[in-house]
Amino acid sequence: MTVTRLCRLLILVEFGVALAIIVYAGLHDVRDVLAGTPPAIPADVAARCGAAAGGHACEALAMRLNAGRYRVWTTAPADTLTVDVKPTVPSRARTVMVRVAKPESVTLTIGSRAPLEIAEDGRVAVRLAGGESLTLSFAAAGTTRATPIEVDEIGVYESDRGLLSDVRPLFRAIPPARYHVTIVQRAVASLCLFTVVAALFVPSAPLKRAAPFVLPVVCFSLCVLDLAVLFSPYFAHDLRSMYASGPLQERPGSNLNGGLYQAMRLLGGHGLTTRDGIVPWERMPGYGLFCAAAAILFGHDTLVDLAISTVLLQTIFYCVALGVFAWAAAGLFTPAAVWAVGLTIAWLPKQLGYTQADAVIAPIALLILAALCVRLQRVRSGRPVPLGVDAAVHAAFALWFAMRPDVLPAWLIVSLVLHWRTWRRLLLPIALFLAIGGGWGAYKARYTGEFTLTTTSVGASLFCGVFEVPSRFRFAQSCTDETYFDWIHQNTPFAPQSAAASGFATREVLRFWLTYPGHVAIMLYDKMMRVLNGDVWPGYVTGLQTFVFGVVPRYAVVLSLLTVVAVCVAIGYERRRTLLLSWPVFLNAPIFWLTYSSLGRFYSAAGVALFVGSLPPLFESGFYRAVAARPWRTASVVACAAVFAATAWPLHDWLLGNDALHYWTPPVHPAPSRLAVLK
Amino acid sequence: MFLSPLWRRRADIAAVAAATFGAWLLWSLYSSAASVSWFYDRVERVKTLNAANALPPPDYDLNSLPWKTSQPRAFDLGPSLLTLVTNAEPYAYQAFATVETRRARAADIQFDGEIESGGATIGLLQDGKWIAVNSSQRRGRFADANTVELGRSRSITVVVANNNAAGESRLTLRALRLYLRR
Repeated sequence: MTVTRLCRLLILVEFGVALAIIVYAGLHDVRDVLAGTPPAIPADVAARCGAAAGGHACEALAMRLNAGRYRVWTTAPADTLTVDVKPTVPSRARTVMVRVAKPESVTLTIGSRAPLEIAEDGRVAVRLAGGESLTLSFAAAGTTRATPIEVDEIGVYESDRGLLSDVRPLFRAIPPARYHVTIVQRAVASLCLFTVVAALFVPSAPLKRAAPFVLPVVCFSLCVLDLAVLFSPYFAHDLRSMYASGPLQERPGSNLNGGLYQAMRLLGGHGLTTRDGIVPWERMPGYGLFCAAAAILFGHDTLVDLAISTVLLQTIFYCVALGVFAWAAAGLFTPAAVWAVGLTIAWLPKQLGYTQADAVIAPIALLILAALCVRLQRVRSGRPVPLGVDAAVHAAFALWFAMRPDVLPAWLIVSLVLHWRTWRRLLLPIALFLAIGGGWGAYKARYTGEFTLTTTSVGASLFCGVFEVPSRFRFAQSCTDETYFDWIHQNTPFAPQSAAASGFATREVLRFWLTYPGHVAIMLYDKMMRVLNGDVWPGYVTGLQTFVFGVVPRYAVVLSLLTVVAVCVAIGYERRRTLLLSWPVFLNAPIFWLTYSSLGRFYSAAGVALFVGSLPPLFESGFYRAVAARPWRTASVVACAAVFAATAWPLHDWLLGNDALHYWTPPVHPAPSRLAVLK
Repeated sequence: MFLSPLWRRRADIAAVAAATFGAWLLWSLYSSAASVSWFYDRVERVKTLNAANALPPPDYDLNSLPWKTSQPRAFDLGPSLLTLVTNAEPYAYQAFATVETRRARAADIQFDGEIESGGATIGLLQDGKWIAVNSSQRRGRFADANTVELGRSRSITVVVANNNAAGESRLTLRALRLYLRR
């Protein structure tokens, strides 16, 4: 056996070991993410409170997190909160665990024990003697200003094992924050990077066969690792606790609970509504149905359970979509490229912990790209494209439309590009659009009395989009739904959620664009720069991503990838494939430069597509031959990219500071505009 | 001329490099995690060192450390009791004791004291850098332990510093033990 063969064998072993470590690390955290604690002893709780002196009467409420674990809180400032915990088997209750969120300092008295001061927002586990009273009294410490008392977690357990730190076979002494945030994340990120290199040396045929199955498992692990850090039970709030103390305390229909309420009410026979008689004006029906599917598959005893079921289904959906993409892309790219693209997509920051439609847009985009890969392969081989392949492409687009309507312009353009020679197939997207839009419109009409094929939030989105860039306009950088509602009420007799209000807002925004073209130019440029600066990969960044982004800034990564796309287009290397697979970058992301971008949370599809469009050529020798054959074109593109990279931010700063351009009003006088109000 | 054979065998060289990189990566990940784990394990053990646990004799204690001072308001070292009133300079070193490491690989420090006002930092310096730090800005008992792997330098310095941005601090130390582990 030669040294080279030996090395390749060694790489194969190292590749397998790296994958095993990555998968193990993620699977180890599954319980922390989904349950938040070891199994508690099933118990009921009864809570009462004593109002703060001079305050309003208070009420004590409890919300079940999982069997035996609760969140308990007072509705008004209180001096005391007393919780009677009644475990089903009192003799097994050996440890009580609490986490106090408010006030900063409280004393906890268990039965007749001496009071225990709890000063930090972290879990506290107290050992119990057998048969001890489980009446827990929380009292605000004397110096603390009167606030509601909020106990984010309370439960009884057989032991404190797994409550304050995860139970692991190795490296037990390392505190959970250090272990999960630093050590595991960096190790897994570096192993991921290694597998991308190693994939170049792993035999192609087995890698091609295995990737559609292995990548989803690795992806699941990486998703869980991210969630385990963002929602750690040991140094943050686990998902159940976070939902109980945050989104589920907000009014039904808000960003993170709208889909959950819709699903719960749908399964309860109350229709796809968030409250009695209320259908969401700003959302399509798809995400509520997705949550309902999660409820059926994984359970929905409470809204907290439903939130966790939804997060789980979102995660599985992301992984399965990646597997489908890996299978479809295998016919178009080299196995190493498929691995690199798939692993990069699995590694990207995601929004899977949040129950809103944006969390599933990236996997839907992957399904569209997968279908396009199959189609491209057919076209490349000179065979006719079966109707089923086009149906798959448009079904994936339709799935996106069922979640969010922003896909419509891109769907139209891609459909025209795909079917300009076979125009009858345009009936596919038209039929799907009418079926979904018409169905939702007809359903909403029962409640609202008006028929619209999509949402009635276009006006609101355009309205808030105008004010996302720094300016001296009244609503600058402070636009919310409430701002829009107030503005509509001040200027029209319409209900803000109505199509009429949306139409009015749209007309006013168009007038504003014409009035202040300089502001529009600055707005577009500012939002484009934010995308280039990394907003194209939305979601909270963890150690997995900072391992790379801490060394190579996201701005440099985005520009480099876009440069590869530009080079492919300029030199004619796989031009159609590159443009078709990166369509969300050019046809979807720019929509949010004109409309509300909400700190970039809508861009996930563009982030995924940027990698799909730009990474594969780097793994193909044909790309380098094409570059060598057209050196001047390549050099021109790279030079332009370099000049842009160097000057884009100084230009941005100059534009933002240039009031003469910003508030220049040559075509239309600002007086009639109801938006052009300066601070 | 020398590069052309290398260029012809670039695939082989890349395979060797990748295999070596993989082996190094796996080993270094395990090794660094084991090292961190050792540290925390050690800290836990050192924290259990107290009089009730048949305390082993330290290499240095409060009275055997060769203390020097840097202009504190008061430095009173009695049998098993050090009383320190710092000067008003925030974060300044107040008392320090440099000792030989005697080829030790690690050092454990354990102390028990009381902060009467302000705050204090107790730790170890090697080559002019903090290698172990315990700080408190709370009045009351200030007792803790720490451990650290030592560098190649032949000496380390135990430091007591003022940790009060507003000025003077007052503390007493009932015990301070330094263990050098070989």
